[in-house]
Order: sequence, then structure tokens, then C-alpha cells
Amino acid sequence: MNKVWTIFKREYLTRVKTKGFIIGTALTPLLIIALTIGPGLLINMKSDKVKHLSVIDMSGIVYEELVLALDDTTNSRERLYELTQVPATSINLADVKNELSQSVDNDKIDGYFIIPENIIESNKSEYYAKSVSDFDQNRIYRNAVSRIITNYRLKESNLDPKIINNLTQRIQLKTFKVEKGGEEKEDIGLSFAVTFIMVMFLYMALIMYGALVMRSVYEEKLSRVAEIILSSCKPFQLMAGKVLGIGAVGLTQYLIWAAVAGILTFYSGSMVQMFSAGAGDVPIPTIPISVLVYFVIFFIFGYMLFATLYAALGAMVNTEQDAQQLQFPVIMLIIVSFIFAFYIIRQPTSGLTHIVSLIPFFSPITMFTRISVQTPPFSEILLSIAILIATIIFLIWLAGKIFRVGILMYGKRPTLPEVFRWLRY
Amino acid sequence: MSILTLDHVYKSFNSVHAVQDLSLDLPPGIIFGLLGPNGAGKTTTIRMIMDIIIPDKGKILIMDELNSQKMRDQVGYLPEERGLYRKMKIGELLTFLAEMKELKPAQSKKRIDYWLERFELSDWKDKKAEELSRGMQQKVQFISTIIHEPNLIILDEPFTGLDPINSELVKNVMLEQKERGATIIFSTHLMDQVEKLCDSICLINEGKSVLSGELKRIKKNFRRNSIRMEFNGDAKFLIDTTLVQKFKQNDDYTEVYPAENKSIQNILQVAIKEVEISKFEVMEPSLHEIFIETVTKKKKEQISE
Repeated sequence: MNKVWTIFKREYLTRVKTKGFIIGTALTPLLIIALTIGPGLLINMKSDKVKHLSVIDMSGIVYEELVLALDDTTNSRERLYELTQVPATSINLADVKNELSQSVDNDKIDGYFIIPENIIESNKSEYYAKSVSDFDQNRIYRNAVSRIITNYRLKESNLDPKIINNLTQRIQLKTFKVEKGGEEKEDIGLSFAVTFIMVMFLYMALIMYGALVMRSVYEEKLSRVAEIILSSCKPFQLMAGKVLGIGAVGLTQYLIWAAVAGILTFYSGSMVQMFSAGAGDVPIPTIPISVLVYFVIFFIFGYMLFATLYAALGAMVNTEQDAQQLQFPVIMLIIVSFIFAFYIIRQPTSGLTHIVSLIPFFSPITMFTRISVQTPPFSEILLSIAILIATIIFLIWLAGKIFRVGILMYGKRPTLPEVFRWLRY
Repeated sequence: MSILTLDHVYKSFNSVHAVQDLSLDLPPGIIFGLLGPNGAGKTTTIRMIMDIIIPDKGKILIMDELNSQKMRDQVGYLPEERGLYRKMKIGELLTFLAEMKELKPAQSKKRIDYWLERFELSDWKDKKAEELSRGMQQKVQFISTIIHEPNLIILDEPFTGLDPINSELVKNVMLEQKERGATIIFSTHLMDQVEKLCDSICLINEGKSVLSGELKRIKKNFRRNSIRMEFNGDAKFLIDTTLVQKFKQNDDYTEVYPAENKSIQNILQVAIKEVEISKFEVMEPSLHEIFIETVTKKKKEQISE
């Protein structure tokens, strides 16, 4: 046990002290801050630049209505859209267009519309500008023109647009999540986001730290350091020290991030307000404590499962290329469980969901996803964890055998039958 | 008590017999040389002793015990292929390796300083391993094999890659360790190191022990019945065929073979009357010659078979 501790300590300390770890750990919270505050800031950002737009209205029914429709103002209460009508007929349209395009090019105007004569029948209009990639802006223009045409048609059919609008008013659907103990909480689509982010972190941890274990094992093997270490301890102790040491590094990093995220959820509301007044109603996601606890549990068990697998694979590696090839099936397992996570978010009660949340190589991600979208019965969580633990114990035994032989076996990559033979040593 | 016993050990890789029927029995406190040409099975033997490779057949006992954890701490091992944690500082690395041998940090600190000083590496204590030259790394590794004062020290080719000064240093430290009571096994194909260091040897070739025992005795057995003489004067006795069977005049000495029923003593008695003797010694073959003779003899036998 003493030697496992010595190896653990070395793995942990040498990794935590590296620049990569310190920078990575520090930068990620900054990213989290940017992600929590950024959207709040962007939503409240208003363009202050007046937009000069020209309109070629050949139908004669759009221009005046468009001036009324585009009535947004800048911060200094000026009109945001300055429209001018440009007369044209189907004969000189090409020339007028040319002229306007040049004006756009010279920044005299920001853009121009072409409303064709037969817009009522053709349902087509055109907008020209230097940049047309702003979806939000395009939507505003489209909606404005659409509404004008719709209202025109309604009037033509002797219907009052106001009445029609009232009659076709959309109904709001507020969503509430029923938590353990029958508590209800208003949900604003954020539970999806929170689940997604946490599953993402879990997925990253399994891939990143698992691969780190593998690399650490084969680097030690290829640099022949393993031979020296193993003159002092049993292979199993080396494996255990490595897996636990790197796991502790991961846990340290995630706890630091969790602490930052926790502080942010408390203060992000006021932080957003600090940057931009009137943004106080930006919803802040909160994570229930029970979900956090399950996150840690599935992080630890998921890591143990994949890290032992990776350690055994690392011991089989003889070249860098071997490592990439051997890693592939394991990464596939993790990716597949990540794909299942999406399915579970949408189908939290289906039969397939029940099954995949019990399969040990998937359950760290799938069961956790289930728990965070729709808490399953406790007995099922327990069963999933029990299967996971049993698998881990089996894998530790198996990996220990493979590790023992593989770590000191040089030459060509072992074939599967050879690996099976190792198990009998 | 034996410090190390190999009892009819076999190991083959696929169809290659790396070690065949090898038996050794080492008393404590000696330096033992494991000799042999490249690919003879030296490293395989050492790796089996270290429990890195498992023998196909046979038993290996260290201090009369089968390989155990407690025993591991009593052994220092320098593998043939050297490797260190490249990103670790030398001081920390040695502390770690000493701790792996159950040495308390307070104890190891003093010893690390002592040995770094001894190997002229004190200035490198806070440097990373990757900044050191290969020779320096090898010295660091050598320190790590003796830092815990083990009873059994196993060195696989300890002198390769070292300059003459450092070779001498390592040799002296090996002799000191023997003085302390440690048993040292080392493999090499450099025969002059063996002559200066070893008490016993085992020469293996193609996985089999072809010659083993105390170095003194082996040399005696290989003693050719000839005398190396250096003298001044007219040596008439040399042409007396009843006394001297034949002689060879070399640059600075004469090799003399006594006649069949004459002893070395007889020759000395006559010679002392005729010439002024400055050197008179029984010719012993160098280990180098024994090595070549034994190994090539085997080869010839195989060919004639």
C-alpha cells in the first residue's frame, strides 16, 4: 500500500505542477464566465448605427407600410432605419439597380429592397447589401415585408387584420419539471442546457483522463522506466498508483471548476447587470445538489472503468501508432454512450433508455443523463451502479494480468490470442 | 546461506532457447560476473532473477526465498536499457526511487547528497533528467540502484557508455559495496573489468553455462604448462631438449615449455645458475583468451557434429 501511495504522490504532484495543468484549469473557468455572461450581454446589445436603406417599390403598396413597420430606435431615440424610395419601372430597373449597388459599394447606403410589381402573386422580394449573413437582421426585414403583404391580402378579402391577429394569437406553453418529492419548478429550456453541459464534461473527462493514463503507461514502458519501478514494486501496485494518481488530478481540476461554476451561479445575475443595466431577468440555471452528487459518483466510477481499460491497453503498446489504434475501440464506446445521451434527453422513459443506462460501458454517461433529465427509480440507479462496480472489479483483475505481462514485453504488438495467454500466467 | 540460487532454469522464446538448464549458487559478499557473447542469454537470466520474465522451468531463490515483496527492497537493479522520468528533477527522482525502496525521506536526503557529490553531479540536482548527458543519466541510475544499500546488487552491463574515469569510479564503488557486505552480480562482455573485479564467474553461451566457478580456479585450470621469463645473459639451457621442450622468443619476454618429465621447478633451478632473472612466472591465460577459446571451441564442436 505504501508503494501505491508513493507512485500516486509522484503521478499527482508532477502533473498538478505542470504549466499545462495550471493554464488549463485557469482558462476553463474564464470560458465558463464568458459563456454565462456573454449571451446576457449580447442579447442586450443594441446597434447604434443608423441604417440607410433604399426601396424600389414597384407594387406601390409596401414602401409606406415598411417605414411604419421598421420603427426601431437607437439608444439616442433616433430612428434606426432611414428609408428612401427610389422610383423605377421594369424598363430601367437594371440601371437603377446598378446605381444602387454602387451606392452600397461606396457605403452611401447600407442596402436596398426590390419589391416587384406582382409581389402579391409571386411571394417574392429581394434585399441587397454588403453583408447578408446576419440572420436576425434578415428575419426582421422578412417579417416586416411578410406582414405588410399579409395585411394587404386580408384587407383585400375584407377581413380586419387586427381581428385576425387576435384570433390567431399563439399560446404560451410554460414547462415545469417535477422533482423528487413532488416539488415543481419552472423550467425555461435550461435544464436541457445544464444536462448537456454536464454530460459534455463527463464525456471529456473520460476521454481526456483515460487517454492520459494510457499515455503515461506506455511512455513509461517505452522509456524503460517501468523496468526500474518494477524492481521495487509489483506491476499491480504501479497500475493502481497511476490510475488513482491521474484520477485525483482529474478530480482536482473538476472540483476547482465546480467551485467556480457554483460561485458564478450565485453571482452571475448581478454580474450581467453590472455590465448592462436592465438585463436582470436573464434566467440563471441552477443545478440540484443530488445531480451534483451523482455527477461525482459517475465521474469516479466511469473514470475507474475506462482508466483500467486504458492502463491495460497502454501496457500492450509498443509504438505510438499502436496506441492510436488500440485507443480507437474505447473511444468509440464513449462516443456511442454520448450519442445515447442525446436520445435519452428526448426519450427518458423508453425501453432502450432503460437498457443502455444499465450497460456498464455506457452507464456512466447514460445513467447520469437519465438522472438529470428525469430521475429514475432509486433501485434502478443502484442496480446500474452495482453492475458498474462489478464490471470495474472484473476489469481491474483482467487489466492487472495484462499489465503485468505487457508492461515488460517488447517487440511487436501482441495478438489477441497472445493476450489471452497472458491471462493464464 | 546462499544469496542467490538458480536451480535448473529454462526459458525459451518461441523456438529460441534463451536459457537452458542454468544453475547458479552464490554465497554472500562476492562479486559475480555473468559473461558471454552478445545474445548468450545474460539479460534474460538477469530479468528472470528480477522476476520480470517468468522461467519456463526451474526455481530462482533470493536469500533462500522465492521472489517476495520484502526481498525486492533488498535488491538494487540496473537494467540494460536505461530510462528515467525525463521531466523530473534529479533530486526529486532519486528521492522517489529511494522511497520506492522504503527509504525514509530524511535518510535518503543525506545519501542522495553524498552520492551526487561522489559522482560529481551535485550541480545537476535541480536539473531535469532530460538535460543530462547519457553518461550522467547512467550515473544517476547507478546511484538509484545502491542508494538503499541493498544486499544484492544486479547490474546489467554497468560499464557500457561510461568513459574510463567514470568506469573506474563505478568499479571502485562496486568494490566498496562488496566491502560493505553486498553481493554484486553484473553482466558484461568486457573481460578486463571482470579480471579486476570478479571473485566468481559464469560464462554462458547460447543459453548454456559453459564455464563457471571461482575465477582463480578457472584460471588455474586453463593454465598452460609454460613459463614467462625475462632475463639477462646467455641462456644455454633453452636448447637442452631434455629440459626444455620448446621456447618462443618474444619482444620483451621468452615463453618456455618444460620437457615432458621436467617441472617448472627444474627449469628455475638451472636457469638461476646461467642467467640473471628479472621475471619468472607461470603463464596464465587472460580471461579474454579463455573466453574466446571456450566460445570458439563450442562452435567448432557444433560444426564438426
